[in-house]
Amino acid sequence: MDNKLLLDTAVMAGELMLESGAETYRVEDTMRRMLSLSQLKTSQVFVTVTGFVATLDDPSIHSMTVVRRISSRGTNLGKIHQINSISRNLCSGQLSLEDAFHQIREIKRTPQKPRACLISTTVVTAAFTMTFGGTLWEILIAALAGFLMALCLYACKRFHMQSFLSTLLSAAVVSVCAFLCTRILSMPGSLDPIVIGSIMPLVPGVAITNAVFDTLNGDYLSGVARTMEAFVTAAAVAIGIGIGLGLLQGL
Amino acid sequence: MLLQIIGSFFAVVAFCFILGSPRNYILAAGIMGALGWALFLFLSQRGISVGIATFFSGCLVSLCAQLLARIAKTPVTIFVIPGILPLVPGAGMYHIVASIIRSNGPETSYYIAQTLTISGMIAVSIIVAESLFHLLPVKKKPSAQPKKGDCS
Repeated sequence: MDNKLLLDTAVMAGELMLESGAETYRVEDTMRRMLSLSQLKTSQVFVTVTGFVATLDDPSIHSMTVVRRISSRGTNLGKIHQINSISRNLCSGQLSLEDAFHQIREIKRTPQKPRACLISTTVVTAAFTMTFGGTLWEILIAALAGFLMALCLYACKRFHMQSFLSTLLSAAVVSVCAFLCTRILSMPGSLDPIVIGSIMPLVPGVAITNAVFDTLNGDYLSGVARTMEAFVTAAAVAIGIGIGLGLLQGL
Repeated sequence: MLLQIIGSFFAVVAFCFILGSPRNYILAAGIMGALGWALFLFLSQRGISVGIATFFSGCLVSLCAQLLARIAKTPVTIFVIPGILPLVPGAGMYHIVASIIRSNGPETSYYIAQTLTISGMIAVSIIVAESLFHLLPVKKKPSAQPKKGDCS
């Protein structure tokens, strides 16, 4: 077995999984399983939220170690699912190492579609306002707010803005839009359901879930880090709403 | 109430598209999210406190998610993350800020406590479901975990 290729494959898989927002213990487990295919004496992986170290060693070879720092993190469940099934097939012998390498590289090259994200964010905000008992007008205003928020998120991503700032700005956009529509343009409907429904795409649901799974699987370092992430995201949303509403009410 | 449940279904389905979920699991995730929200609404209407209602609907969602993940052989998070979303206390976060702006101290502390309770209950419900499923025997594939001492 080509150990170098195996290490490259495992590293690329781990990198993609971490960037797609997989739980830390799952990344570690997937990489360890892949590396143990080499049958070498030492195959060790250490993963944290922001990077990982993987090493292969044996008396017969020069030891190989790779360190990767993960700088950008989002959520893409589809990629996690694909890599998970590739690693499953690789470990059960249904897939050759070369094929696995090429498939993972193919996943890495797939670009994200911003337009689909724009539409679905609009639908999410409208549907959540409906979920929390909004009227027809409130749902329409929430759809508008969601559309503007998605545009704002996209712009922030283009300018490589920090996630704290982009969440804060998006929440501010939502609250300003809702306030303008209900109070100043005096459209029928109250402020509360619009804002509550529209901030739902920003709330830290992913961070809470991953924090729980990491903590449960004994990865306390990542558990604490992700809990912190949840609180920081929640704070960003709250400050954003506060800035929007506070400024406009002061006028 | 039916409208709210339909709303939560569409919300979860659309959120799956944002998260880039695999296409063939989106419908299942949507139904799961709607079921969870329906249970939450039902329990809240019976006068059960928000925390307990969140706990039970969170349990329902994460148990379904664990089951589906075992069947589909995929990470649990693919079902848990979208399914749990309607329960995440976005409303609580908004009410905290709104009461701070109105400078209503008692209301602020009430909503802070409520938001923390709800997030804690979500966490506990996921823990319960995961622990229950850990008790089940896992079928081990012999080739999936090669033995370490095999190389000579």
